[in-house]
Amino acid sequence: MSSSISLPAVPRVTPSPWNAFGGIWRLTARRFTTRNYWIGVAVLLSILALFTGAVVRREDGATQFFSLAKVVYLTIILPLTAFVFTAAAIRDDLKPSSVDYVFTRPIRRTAFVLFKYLSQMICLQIDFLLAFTILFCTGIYRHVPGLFEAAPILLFAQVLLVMAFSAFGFFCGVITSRYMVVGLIYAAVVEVGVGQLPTQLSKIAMTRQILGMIEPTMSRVAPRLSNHAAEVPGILATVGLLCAFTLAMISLAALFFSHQELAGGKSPQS
Amino acid sequence: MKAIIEGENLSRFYGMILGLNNVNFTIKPGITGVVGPNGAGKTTLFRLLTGQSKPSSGTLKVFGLNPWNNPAVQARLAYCPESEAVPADIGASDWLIALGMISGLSAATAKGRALLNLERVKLPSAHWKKRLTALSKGMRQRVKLAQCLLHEPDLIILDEPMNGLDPMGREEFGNVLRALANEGRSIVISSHILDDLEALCAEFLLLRWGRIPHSLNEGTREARARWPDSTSIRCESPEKLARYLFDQHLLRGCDIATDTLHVRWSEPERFYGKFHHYLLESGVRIFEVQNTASLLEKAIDTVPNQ
Repeated sequence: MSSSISLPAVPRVTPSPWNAFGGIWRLTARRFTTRNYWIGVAVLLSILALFTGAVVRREDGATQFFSLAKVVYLTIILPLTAFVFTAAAIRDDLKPSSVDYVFTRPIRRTAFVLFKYLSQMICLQIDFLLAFTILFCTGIYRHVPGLFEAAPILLFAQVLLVMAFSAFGFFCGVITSRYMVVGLIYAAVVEVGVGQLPTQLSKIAMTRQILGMIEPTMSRVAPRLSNHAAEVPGILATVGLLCAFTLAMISLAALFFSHQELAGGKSPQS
Repeated sequence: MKAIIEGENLSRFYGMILGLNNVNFTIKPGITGVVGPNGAGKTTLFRLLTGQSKPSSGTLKVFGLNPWNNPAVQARLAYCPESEAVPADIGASDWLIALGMISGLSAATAKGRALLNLERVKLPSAHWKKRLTALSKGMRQRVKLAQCLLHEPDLIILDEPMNGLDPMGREEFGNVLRALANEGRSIVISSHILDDLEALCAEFLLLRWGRIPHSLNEGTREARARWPDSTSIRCESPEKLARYLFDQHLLRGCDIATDTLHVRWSEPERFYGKFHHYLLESGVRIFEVQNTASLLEKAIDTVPNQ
């Protein structure tokens, strides 16, 4: 039977990973450039600025500001947003409007996962840079002491958290449409450490690592916030752990996605 | 001619649901029509061909290779799905540029190809920048065809591409497909508009309930060898024409509806052998002569169930 099949010839256009990344970047970045998106971003940033301005007062501004930055911004808003946005983005790419056009093209699924994650993560980093700027400017407006000393480590923490939680969101988005359930279970067991499970999983929580990393700076700029009981891992250890977590999530997502069959635009019975 | 697609004992099940059931087939270069009722397994077949699904059993080869998740095959084929879903918030030309780049083209080449192909599918340039979701169904079909042509594929798989096109659009669409076939590209197309399919395709594959009961090639060849049993003739005076044809002993029966005469021939080959002569001699002004049933429809009707 195979003898009657014509031998494979060279395709007229040779697949190129670099160009494919460009294509995926264009499809991803467009979601961040629509008018509705920017209206949403403007509203959220205004709320952030107003909330920060209202909470931080002149007296003991450092404690209030850095408490807000640590507890609300770095451990709640940022991980949650990065997780949800990335999971939603990959779910969007599994819809018929994308599946039938993107995954019938000559790109390896593993490459797609990597390129999609990078594009999404870069776009989120840009957005959070904007949020950080708003937060920072509000701090300046409220004359928060130690702001310039703390800014680099806070920004670095933000970059690491966006990288790791985007990867986690990406993985959850690939494996299930109910990514929020997986995310909430993870947050409860690992990040928050509900019930202090005997496995002590919360010790490897990413937010805990990040808070440990910024602790020395926090104890200098806002001594009342200092948590002496906190374990202080080195910056390299934290970076290594978060990079390893990111790599593991993306590898698992790629592995899972490579074996996933795509349903596309019609029910399989058709 | 060598086959470009070959399926052997190919099955695909979705749990208890049957997609394709132990089918054997080959598809040769050229334009091939895939015909069958809803739920026959056409889209399942296309999903297997494009490497989106894996066969449950059996083998499938496209250009001699297993298509499942195989960029070497995907670099040589293109797919236009039936689904009307297109990404929101992106213009037609921008979408094509991004897809062209994913196929391997540089940004500049992708842009050039995108515009060229939008022109080729006759989408007016005023709509090139418009969001896909703002385009009409027919225009979206044209953009969907254009995305197939970006990387000059050797095989183009089209699932119901003529849905939503007006008759003129279907004609233009057909012309584009014929031109592509003349350039040496192979096309596999499914459509419920059998007349259009019959006008386009040299070969057919009939699917029914996940099986291939018969190669329609044979069926259509037989059907084409015969003259149509019934014909509709739109003319100035159907009554006068009916009287004349009865006098010539050509008719088995007829119906008259306003300006159209529907006839059933007793000896169709005698009428069609000299139809110019008969119609001229009748002295009736003829506007249109049309077969009542398409040959393909007839062939499908005659295919036995397995």
